[in-house]
Amino acid sequence: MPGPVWLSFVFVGLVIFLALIGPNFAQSPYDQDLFAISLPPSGGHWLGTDELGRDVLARLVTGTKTAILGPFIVAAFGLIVSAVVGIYAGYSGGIVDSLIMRIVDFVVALPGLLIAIVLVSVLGGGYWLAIAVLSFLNVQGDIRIVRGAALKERRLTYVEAARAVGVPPHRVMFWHILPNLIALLAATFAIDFSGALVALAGLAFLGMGAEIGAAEWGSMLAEGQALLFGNPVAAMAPALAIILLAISVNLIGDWIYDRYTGQ
Amino acid sequence: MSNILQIKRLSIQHDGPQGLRTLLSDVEITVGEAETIGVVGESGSGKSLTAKAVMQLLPPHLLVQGAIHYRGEDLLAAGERRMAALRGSDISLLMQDPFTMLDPLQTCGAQVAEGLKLAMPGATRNELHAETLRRLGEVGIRDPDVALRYPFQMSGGMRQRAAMAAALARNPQLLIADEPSTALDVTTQAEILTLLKSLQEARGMALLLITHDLRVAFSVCARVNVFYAGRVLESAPALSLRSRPLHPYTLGLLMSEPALDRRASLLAAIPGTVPVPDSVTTSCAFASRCSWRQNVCAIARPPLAEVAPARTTACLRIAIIADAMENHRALADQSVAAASLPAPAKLSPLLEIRGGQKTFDSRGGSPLVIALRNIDIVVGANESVGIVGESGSGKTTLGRCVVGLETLSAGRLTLDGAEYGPGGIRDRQARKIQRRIAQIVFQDPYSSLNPRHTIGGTLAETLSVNDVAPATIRARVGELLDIVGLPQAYASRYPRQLSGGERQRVAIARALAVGPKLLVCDEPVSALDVSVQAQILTLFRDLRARLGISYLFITHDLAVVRQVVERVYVMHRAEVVEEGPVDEVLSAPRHSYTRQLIRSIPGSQDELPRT
Repeated sequence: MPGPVWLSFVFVGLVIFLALIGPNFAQSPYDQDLFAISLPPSGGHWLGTDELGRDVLARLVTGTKTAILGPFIVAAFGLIVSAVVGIYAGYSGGIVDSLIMRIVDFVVALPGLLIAIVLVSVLGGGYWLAIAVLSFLNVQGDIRIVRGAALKERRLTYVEAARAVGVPPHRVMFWHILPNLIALLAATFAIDFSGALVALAGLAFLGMGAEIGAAEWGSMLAEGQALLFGNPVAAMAPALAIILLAISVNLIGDWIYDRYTGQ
Repeated sequence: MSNILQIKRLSIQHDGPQGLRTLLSDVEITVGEAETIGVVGESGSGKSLTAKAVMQLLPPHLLVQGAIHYRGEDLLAAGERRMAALRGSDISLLMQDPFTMLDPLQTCGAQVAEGLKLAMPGATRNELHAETLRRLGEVGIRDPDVALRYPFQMSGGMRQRAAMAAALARNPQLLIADEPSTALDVTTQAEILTLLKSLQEARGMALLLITHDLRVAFSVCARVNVFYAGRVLESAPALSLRSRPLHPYTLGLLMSEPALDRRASLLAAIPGTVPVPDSVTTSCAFASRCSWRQNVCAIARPPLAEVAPARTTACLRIAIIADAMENHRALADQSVAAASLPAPAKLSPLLEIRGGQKTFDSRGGSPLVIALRNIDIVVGANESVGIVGESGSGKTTLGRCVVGLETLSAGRLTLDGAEYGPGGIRDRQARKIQRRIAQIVFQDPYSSLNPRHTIGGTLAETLSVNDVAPATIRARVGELLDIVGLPQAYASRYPRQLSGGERQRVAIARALAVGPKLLVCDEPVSALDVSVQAQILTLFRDLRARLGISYLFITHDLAVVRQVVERVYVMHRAEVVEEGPVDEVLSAPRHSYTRQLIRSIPGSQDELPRT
């Protein structure tokens, strides 16, 4: 395993660990200390404090769960729906395929993030709404990718051979073709995850999809802007966490893809 | 005669995660000026690697040792700049697949002109254009319009001609042709080889021809080097190699070529499969498959030694076994002559197609594609029938219609008394019955098995979807593996752990799992190495004797078809142009197309190699 991939696994493992049990160890992310606002990192506050005197490290650790849960749901939704719909469209062909693909084309043509912003702000914010909208927008591209791969797989002789001995279509699709697309699905999952991570953080940065005052990486980034001169770490820490997590997940996805496809 | 190319003790190792793995060891090849030298070997023998080493076009992570002298200059020591100057102008490479070798975005004239510009500095546009047309004429492309065509607008043969003109544009002294005719149809193959040979003679250049086909090498080359598992096992003038091979592997190769002019009673196959070069670095590469093996063969690597004038062999024991080898061959020849066809009995038809038509709709208003036109075919119970034709003749479509992967557009298809066709029954139940009577074995065993399923899983699934009781499936999988000659332990293996021949056995077992009366075999041995082909053909014969099944054997290879069928249909452009007992059709063809097919087989006119 190459070094960067190994480090990615360590980082992702750490993030998951913090998401699960982190809040038990950190200080409370909501306790304000108005006598200690915008302080740079110190022994008491490893990453310093924000403008309300809350501990940045505690907020970062508490935000981990929200940060990974949303992208995970978006990517998992993409994985499952694109596997079912994409393989079905690619394998069946004909009218079913055309219909599905026209719908996909339509949704892909819409400016995704813009619609998410409008919907979330009109319908009154909310983390779950943002996740639902992103999931729906994100899955369309996945369907296209999986459908293309299924179409290619379908032309291989092993599919024809299975049909020739009487394997029923649903079994050909999900017992024969699906296992051969695992690598692709893993890579798509990784891309979806980091895409959704950045998109959700972006929404939170704009003040959408996160409760006001919640310990959330995107909102921390927005709040941290104001105290760049007092405690620059307050903005840099969540930014770095988002970037590192996105890169790590992508590296792992690539690695799985190469491993499975023998490259 | 001076040498234009001399490869000395060339060894190549791959430096990968598993450490150093040998790919090529101690290869020696000499090519004289204006000589044609053949390199013959099965897949993975290192022949293409050798060609790439000469051109210095090897992939990264390879450790190369030895020397490659081109007119006295060591190419391994030459820098990239020097090599770039030599490539094309002194040494040129012609590859197997003309489609990937030509740039798809440039016309064929432009690709030839590109080389000409370098060969004719200062030439005007008109001069270049005239020379391009002259060069295309040299390779048999007389129509000046062809120069304006893109590769995708040309047939395979035309593309290979254009690629040849491009490779020769700068008048190289040495042309390396790597399987130049393999991707082409039989009749085109013969034309390309003849053209290659005549160009070599007319230009007085040296030619290094790389091929897996002994017949091709014998028809063109003066001298042949036999490659096996990354080594040269024997090197000899073509004529004497053919008449008196001095290595057991060469003998095995010669004997496994199915005879074109007769049906052999026993097909000589080399047992086992080709080892990877790295596993045989300390023994004779062929030891595990050799019938004359002794302890001495397994303990050290035999060097290539000169045993007679102009003849080298890597067999240590050749002096002792030469006579035994010759007797072995003579004996096999005798038994070959004795084989005869089973008497043609009046058989009840198992498969009957009358007036079979198949058309494919094409998109965008272009005309219909007619794949089958007025086909009449009968296959009797326990009869073996061949369909011979080139790509695009419709033979594969015919086979797919028989097993129900396609339906005829018009005409009648009767299988075991029931009718399936445009007018016949066409529901799920009918399809099930059709499938149980007719099954298919595909050409490419590398793609016909699901890479993510074990062998046992593939067979068990086939059994279970065909209503075999779950309790008996395990035992039945074992039986099926037994029938096709594979150990039962293979049930837990994945396709990638099997060789091509073994995979084809699994594919046959899968078809047999359904319990068919008719097996449609679509080019079942054409993707396999020669030494393995005979094993699979023997299996087909055995299965017929043991299970009493019929075959519809689809192939382009006349020698192969002669070994396994009694009657043959010759297809050309969607129609059957000739039919009859296989001996009659091949010995006394009536249709001009059949005659052309037979003439196209390398060596069929007994062209003698020039020395």
